[in-house]
Order: sequence, then structure tokens, then C-alpha cells
Amino acid sequence: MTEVTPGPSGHPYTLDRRQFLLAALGGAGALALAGCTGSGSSGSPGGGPGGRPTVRLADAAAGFPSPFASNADFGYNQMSLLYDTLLWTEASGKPIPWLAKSFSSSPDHLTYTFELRDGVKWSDGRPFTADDVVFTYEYYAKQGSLLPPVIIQPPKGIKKVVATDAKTVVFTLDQPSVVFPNWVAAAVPIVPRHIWESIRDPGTILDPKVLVGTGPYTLTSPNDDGNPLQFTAKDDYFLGTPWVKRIEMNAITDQFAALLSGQSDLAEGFGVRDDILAQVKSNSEYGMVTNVGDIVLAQLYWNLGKGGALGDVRFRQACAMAIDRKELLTRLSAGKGAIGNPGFLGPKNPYYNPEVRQYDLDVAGANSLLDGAGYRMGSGGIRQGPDGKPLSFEFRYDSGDGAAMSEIVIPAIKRIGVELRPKPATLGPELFGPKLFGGYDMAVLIYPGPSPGGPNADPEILRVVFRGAPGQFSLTSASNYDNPAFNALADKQSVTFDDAQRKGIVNEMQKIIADDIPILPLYYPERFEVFRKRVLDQWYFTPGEFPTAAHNKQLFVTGMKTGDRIRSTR
Amino acid sequence: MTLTADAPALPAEPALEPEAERPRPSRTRALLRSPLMVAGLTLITLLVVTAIFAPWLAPYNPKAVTGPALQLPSARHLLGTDIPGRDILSQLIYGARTSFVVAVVGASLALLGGIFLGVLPALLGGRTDTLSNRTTVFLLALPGLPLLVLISALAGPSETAIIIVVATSGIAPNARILRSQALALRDAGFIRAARGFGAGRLYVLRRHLVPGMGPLLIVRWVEWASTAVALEAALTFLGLGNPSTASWGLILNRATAQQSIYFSPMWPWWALPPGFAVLLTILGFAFVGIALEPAFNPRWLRSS
Amino acid sequence: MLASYLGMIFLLTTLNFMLPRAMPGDPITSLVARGSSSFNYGEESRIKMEKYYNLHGPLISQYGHYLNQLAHGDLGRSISTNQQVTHEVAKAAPWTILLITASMLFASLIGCVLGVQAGWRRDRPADRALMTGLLSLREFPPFLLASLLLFGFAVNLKWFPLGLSETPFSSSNSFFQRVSDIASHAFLPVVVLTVGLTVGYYLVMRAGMVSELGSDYLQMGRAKGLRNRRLKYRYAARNAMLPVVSLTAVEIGFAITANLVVERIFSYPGLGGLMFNSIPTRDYPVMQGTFLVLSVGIVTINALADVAYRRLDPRAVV
Repeated sequence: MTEVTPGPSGHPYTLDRRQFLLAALGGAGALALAGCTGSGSSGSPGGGPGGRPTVRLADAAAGFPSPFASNADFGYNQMSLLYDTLLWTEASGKPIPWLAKSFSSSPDHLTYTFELRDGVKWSDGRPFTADDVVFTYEYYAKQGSLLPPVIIQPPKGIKKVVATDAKTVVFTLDQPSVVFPNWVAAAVPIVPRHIWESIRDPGTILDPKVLVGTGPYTLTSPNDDGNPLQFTAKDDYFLGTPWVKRIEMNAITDQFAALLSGQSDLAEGFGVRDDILAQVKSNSEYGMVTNVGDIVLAQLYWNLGKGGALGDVRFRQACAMAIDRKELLTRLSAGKGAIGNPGFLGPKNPYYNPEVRQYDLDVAGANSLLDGAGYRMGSGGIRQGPDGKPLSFEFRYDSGDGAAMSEIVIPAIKRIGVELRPKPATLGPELFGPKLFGGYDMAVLIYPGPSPGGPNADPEILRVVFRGAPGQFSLTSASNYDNPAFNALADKQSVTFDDAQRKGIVNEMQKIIADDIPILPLYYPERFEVFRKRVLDQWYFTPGEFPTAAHNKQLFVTGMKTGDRIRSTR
Repeated sequence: MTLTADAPALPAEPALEPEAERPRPSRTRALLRSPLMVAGLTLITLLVVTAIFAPWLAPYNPKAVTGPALQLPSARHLLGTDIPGRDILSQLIYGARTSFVVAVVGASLALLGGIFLGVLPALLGGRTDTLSNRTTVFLLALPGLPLLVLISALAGPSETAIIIVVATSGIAPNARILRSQALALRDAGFIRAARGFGAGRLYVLRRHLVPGMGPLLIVRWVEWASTAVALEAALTFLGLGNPSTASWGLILNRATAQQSIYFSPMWPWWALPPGFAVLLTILGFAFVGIALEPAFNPRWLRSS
Repeated sequence: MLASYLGMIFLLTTLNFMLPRAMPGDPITSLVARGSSSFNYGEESRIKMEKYYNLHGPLISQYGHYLNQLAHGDLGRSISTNQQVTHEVAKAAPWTILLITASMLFASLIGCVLGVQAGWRRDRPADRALMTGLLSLREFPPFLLASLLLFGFAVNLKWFPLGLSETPFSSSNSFFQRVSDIASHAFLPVVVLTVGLTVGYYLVMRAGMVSELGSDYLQMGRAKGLRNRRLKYRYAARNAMLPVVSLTAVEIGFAITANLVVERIFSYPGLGGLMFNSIPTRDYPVMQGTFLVLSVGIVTINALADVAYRRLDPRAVV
């Protein structure tokens, strides 16, 4: 069930904006700098001592912030300031009660009962009731699918949602699901019946009048005139007046320069060199949190569906042995981050299994593996398959950030008699189309996976990435990989609630993936968030990357890393 | 004819005196001695020599990873290394090849196109001329770079595509200027006289038109060589080139793509040399053009 | 005249429709790629999306729809941001206009003054040096000049901001602070454009001066004992101005082109940036909208300059 996979991808700031757009044009953004040095920043952004802070973020407006039109995961984050969910994910990665004050599940995990909080109101003053929750889930179900890149798609596997009284909602599922609390209850925004009931195609509604939510903030200034996108705290929010009284967002190309010059309060990035970071590390004004193995990762894909050598596991294993993943990390990410794990889950994931096949650099081993598999060395140092076809493949990568990667990977693979013909494409549909729809041989993507996703997510992610359902496409998912043994385990873990037992299953799944390697994670760049301590100092990366990056509403509302109690003093 | 001649304002019909077009030997010698010409020819020679002897001059294969990533200049890598660790000097040297090819092929194609669109119809006259003139006017009115950017994105990242784009963009401006010259020649007294005496078209073409057009063609070629180098650098800098070739614009592109990279002490070593290489090459052609110009072509008639 | 102008506009709109569609990759794929992995992609959902974004059916009917929209002044909605393109263009255009007007103004002032001076004392060493210097300066590719200025004055010396058109989050500043903030952001871009534009004015003005200098009325004025300064600016320069009008049209074309690169390098939120950002996602409506505005702008200005020139100088037959 719950294919809610709040998903994706986007990471509009670092990827959509900085990389996706700029790098796509070769980073010509050239001196993709922006954000200005020196020239006066306004007022006292952090608020005086004792005052509640205004936080300024280097973010562009990501679509229209309604649940049905917000743009990818950063759009989701912005939307989540206006709309609440039944539960919400905090720094521990556990869902905490939000619109619901408590919840419980039946012993068979087929029903969930949510007790709603009292005194919750919609931003237009009407009371929030259990009926709105029922309406929301029914309304979602009616939509079939929402226009991408909306990441919260209608959840599947929910049999019925019933309000037993004004403050109690009972969910009945088709079959149990481990990720229901995190991926559904803590992800689907609750919308008011009185606004949406009469709207048939919600994705097309872009009128600010519909932005009625229970959320902690209201949209006080859409940035359509060059002014920042501004969210202002609601004084009558049901948890109390939110700690951060205002959140301002403005498109700034170079977040790092903007932070240093006092124009914003948070900068994020990945793979940035130490000599550059030194400026903030030595300054007590700034704090930094880092993360490894989240949605930003570099992966090598084989299109198994093409058959021939690409479908041959020994060929893929030989390729993996020919690539020095450590070298990639050193050269491309300044050594900051972690080496890719062939079992997919990252070293920080509680379910990480280090006991899988690792494919350390072994060119001789790779060559003898290919010899043994019947790929004979042919003319020009290129091997031939048993079918007489040369081992020569199109290799797709993004012509911006992927270029440096290709300069290492192509010669590395050449050492085992395999030719990769470079096929650079701009980061966008020109590159994604073939990856999504199977029109490629081999590819590398340095791109965020679905969120919650990436190597640190709930192991359900393994099912999403490696057990592709027909008709579902994701940039990160394996192409045409289908292993019945894996599929059975993948389905089993998602209905296994005993943690030790689930861990055993997931360990096994990682072993299978590492042996089959339909995808080879190359490295996980270290991601950092540098922040101005004076303004807000409790920033964290939400485990599982949902909500993505350090922009968790829970932090803005409470000023703390965990819980729903608002911090009392600075 | 000098730059100070009467200026018909619209850059439309530079009516040149054909006689003034042919530099006499003494003038040619004076030209070659002008400091601008010397500077320009020196720079162009430098480019050509670097381009031809790149494999011998470059210490490393420009595409191969030969050192640690982003190293400051050292004895092993005179200009340091880039990300992922390739020698920047070698890339710079091989980049001369790309610029040289783009200059020669781009300028030649642009001029050839200009001759086909401008000169031939002008000589034939009639409907062909009207049509080609209309086409020229239309092409000139198109917004230059926005269109080039769209077309390069359309053609995908390839060096050939960039050269073709660069050459195409030169056809219309060249056609216009060459056409006016051809018209002036066609109607010039001595050619009419020759035709009157029964000279064939081919004869006139060979004896009068080619010598009459020659100097202008040379000036235009030199100017377009410079423009082609600048355009190629700009387009690859914007990320529209082939990321696997060695090109100065591409080095610049890569040097500016990394987040906050300009805070790194290595950055100036990475970004400035290709910038100056582009500049010197362009100036080389430009100097020659400027030096030739007083003799041949009122430069201010050129639109950009 | 009007007919050919309209014909040109029609050709441009058509080109404008065709070009983005000829590129590999389409905006729908871009959306799907950024969407959730749980999005059920199939023929049905694709058609739904295509219909929503008016990308459905044969090209000719899409083209009809596009023309119809245009006729109503509607440029459609951006596929990646869902914003009205007219709105986005209206937001970006003032910044582009600011850069172009400011640099045209400076360029014409500096160029004309230099030209008058140079023409007045033509062929002296100073004139030759200035000429050579300016001609070389014109060869300086805008992208390179912009990068160098950015690195030198913004990154290293920190005299100017690194980019954008205003300091972000500065809404509380006073009017004058805002103006000086905008000016400091526009300074480097305007310098780059001005450098490229000045030379044209200089050359035309200089040539105009030179030809005026030989004319009878100046000789006469000299004979009457008028002061040089008066002669130079009141008479000679004034008559030499005529070509400057028509030059302006040519220069605007150059300015728009160079501005594209300059905006990109300085992350300036004008039309150039808008167009560049729409290319990787194949956001057809935005690509079309910005390209159309830029190209119709150039064509219109050229046409207006033509008309103005005819009015000003009855001799001109083009």
C-alpha cells in the first residue's frame, strides 16, 4: 500500500535552482554568484535579544503553495507552513502528533485511530473537524493522480476513512504497512472541505483565496514583485505562537556568499571544499550541521532491459570492480562524504548492512571475470560478447556536473575492455527522458532521489527503487530489475512490524541488491547547512529526508529539535 | 578611403570607390609595418603555432586525469589542475586548436554564405536579388544571441553544431556588406565599359570583380575570425558546447560551475588563463582587422 | 513598410513556436522526472498533462491555440512554475529595460562627446590612439569583461554586490537607500554594456564631425569669429547628430544580445535570465514569451528608427 512515497526529487534549491538550472547550462550561471557582499542588509533580522526571530532563506517560490500544485519537495516544504498533517516528522525521525493529539493502531495493524486536537481552526476562522480529515482522504482518492511535480500523490491501500465523532478518525487499510504513519499520516496535508468540495480539478487552481489551512503560518507576500516570499506566524496557532515569527524566502543563487554577507541566515550545499568552508568554520557566528547519504547521491545505472551484457550480472560486477569509488569521492566531492554502498542503504541508516559485497577496485579481477563470462578481448582493446557484439555502450551524463565524473569513469571502464561512448546532455528532459523511459544503455546521475528516499530513508525505499511496479517511473529506480526473491522479501518487510525481524529481511535484501547491482551508488557527498546561530541554532536534517533539507516546520514552530512544545526563551 | 570619410548614417549601402580598394605595393608595405599589424600577426602566429604543435607543447593529455584535483600551480602542473585533476596548461594549449579551427572554418563559412546570399544574387539581379535581399533584411532583424542560444540548445552539445551556429550568424551581416560592394562594382564605369566591349560575365568576374572584392573579403574574413572565436567561447562558456572537447570557453565554464568555488585560492589559476587566451586571440584578429581597415573598409558601417 | 513589418512579426512568432519544439526533450518529461516516484505515469496521465499545458494534438492545432492566445495578449502559463508568463515577463522586463536604457544613455553621451572631440582634432596621435583603443575595447567579449569585472570588483575587492538586482530581504529600506542599492547592483552590468555600446556612437559622431568640418557654414562661422566651443557643439555636433538616431536602433540590437550574457553572469533577474532558465526544463511558454518579447522589441525599434530617420532626413531613401 502506501505508495505515497512522498517523493522526489527535486530539491529545488540546490538542485532545481543552483544545479538543475545553472549546471544545466553548464553552471554558466556563471560565476553563479549572487547574493551580494557588503551592501547593507536590512534591520536586525534576527530580532533583538528576547524577540522572536525572522528567518531569511535563500529559496525561490516553488510553485503555488496549495497541496495540489506545489512544486516538488521544496514546494511541499513551503506548502507545509500553511497546511498541517495528522502527524509530523521531527529530528528523531519519529512521527509526532500534530493535528492529532494521539494515535493508536490495532494489533493487526489494519486500523489506525487518530484523536484530533481541540481548538484547531482554519485560517478563515472556521473550526477544523474530523470531517475535514475524511474529506481530504476521499478527495485525494478521487483525484487518481495529481499533476507532477506534486510529490504527495493520492495514497493507495486505504480501504476507508471514517469519523466516529467530531474528534476521532479511524483509518482502515487493505493490508498492513510499516510506513503508514511516516509516509501517509505525516505526509498528506489536511485540506478544508468548505474550500475544495466544489473544485473538480484542484491542480489547476492557482488562486491565493484557496490557501486556507490550519498551518502555523499564513502567506503574507507572494514574491511576484521581487519582494521576498513571506510567511507570517499565526498568533492563535493551536500549539501557541510559533517561535519563528516570520520566514522570508528569496531566490539567491549563491547561498554561501549571501550568508557570509549577512543577507540570509542559512546556506546549504554539498561537496564544498575545506578551503572554502574555512571561512565559516573559524567564525563563531555560524554553526554547521552536516549529513551524509541523504537524497543527494551519485549513482551508476545499467539499463537491464536492453539485455545482452547489460543484463548480465557478471558484466555489471566487472564494471563495478573497475571503478575506484574512493577516487571519485576524493576528486569530485573533495573527499567529503561517504563511498557508495552497493547494498544501497547508507552507513548512517539504522538498517545499513555492511556485510554485503563491496566491489573494491580490482581491474585484474574484473578482467578475469569478463574472460570467464565469455567476453573475449577483440580488436582495439574492446571485448566482444558471446553474440559477437562489441562491448560498446552509450554513456549518458549531465553535461554540467556529470562531465568531471565521466572523465574518470570512461577511462576506468576502458581498462576492462569496455567502451563507453559519451552522450552528454543538459540536466533536464534531454537527460531524464531516456533514463525514465528506458532509452539508454548506461548513465550516471548526480541527482537527489525521491524523498523520503535516498540511502538514509526507511528501508521501504528499497522496494520503491528496486521493485518497480509497471507504469511507475522514477529517476532513481532501477531499470527493468526484477528478482523474485528480492520482490518477495521487499513485500514481506513492508508488513513486518517486529523491528529485529524486519532488520533481518532488509539485511538479506541489501545482500541481493549488492550481488545483482542493478544500480551502483558511487558516493554520497556530504551535505551541509551553515546557519547564523544568533537567528536560529537548532537546525537539523530530518532523517529520511522528509521534509527535505533542514527546512522542517517543526523547528520553525517550536525553535527546538524535537517535540511540539514551543521554546520559551532565547 | 579612411575612417574619417563622409558618413551616410544608415549602415546600408557603403558605396566604395573601387579604385581605392586596391592597396598599392607601397601601401601594403606600410601596412605591414604598422605596430597594430605587427602585434596582431604576432598573436595570430602564436595561436597557429600553439594549435599546430599542441601535442608537442602540452605536457599532458588534456583529457586525462594526471594529478590531484584542484592543485595550485607547481613544477608538475604549471597552471595547476582542475576538477577532477587534469592539467590546466595542457587544456589551454589544446584549446588553441578548437579556437583556431573555429576561427578558420567559422569565418570561411560565414563569408562563403555571405557571397552566396549577397554577391551572386546581386550580380544576377532581378528576382533572385530581391528575394535574397529580403532574406538578408529578415535575418538581420532576428535577435542574434537569443536565437543562437536556442539553436545551440536545439543542436545539442556538439562542437560542429557550435561552428555551424557561429558561421550561420555571420551570413546575413556579410551578405549585406558584400552585396553593396558588388553592386557598386557592377555599376562602376569600368565594368560597364568592359561589358560594353563584349566581355563575358566570367571575364568580368575574373578580371574586375574578384580583384575588386578581394580586399574587402580579407577584411571581413579577419573580422569574422575574431567574432567566431568570441562567439564560440561565449556559447561554450554558457554550457552549450560539447563538454568532452578542449575549449577555452569550456574551461571557463567548468571553473565557474562549482558552488562558491571563487573563494578557493586555486580559482584565479583556473579561470583567468582561458579568459586571457580568448582575449588575446580576439585582439590578434582585431588588430589585423583594424590595421587593414583604413585601407579597405569603413568599419563603422558594420553593425553588430 | 507596415506590411513587411507585420510579416516579420508573423515570421518571428512562427519561428518562436517551432524552435522550442524542435529541441530534444519536452517539458512533461521534466515534470515527471521531478515528481514523485509514486506518480503513475501512463498514456492517460500524459494526455491529461498535455491537455492541461496545451501540448496535445497535432502541431498545427497547438499552433492555432498559441496564435489565439497571443491575440488575446496571453502568453500562457509557465510549465515549471505555474506562473502566468505575461506576469513573469512583466516582472523581469523592467530590470532589462533599466540596464539597457542606462547603458544606452551613458554610451551615447560618452561616445558622442569623445567623437566630437576626436573629430575636431582628427588624425592627431591622440585621435589615433583613442580610435585604436576603443576599437580594441569593442572586441572585448561581454562575457569575459563581465566575468573579469565580477571577479575583480565584486569577489575580490567587494566594492559591488555579486549579483541580483537588489539586496534580498531589504524591503524595509527607505526610498533613497533602495535607489542606491539598485544602482550599486546595476553598476557593473551597465559598465559592461556601456563599453560595448560606446564605440559605435564614437565612430558615427566622429565621422559626422569630420564631414561637417569641411562645410561652408563652419568656415563662415569661423570667419565671423565665433568661438570654437560654440561652433563645435552648437553647429557641427548638432548636424552630425542625425546618424546617431539611426545608430540607436542598431545599438539596441547589440545591447539586447549582450545583455543576455550580462544578466546571466550577474544573476540579474531580467528577461535574459528568464529565458536561460527556461531552456533546460523546456518550458515552452516561457521560452516563447521571452524570445517573442525580445525579438519583437528589436524589430519594432528598428522599424521606429527607420520611420524617425525618414522624418528627419528627407534625402534618405532606403
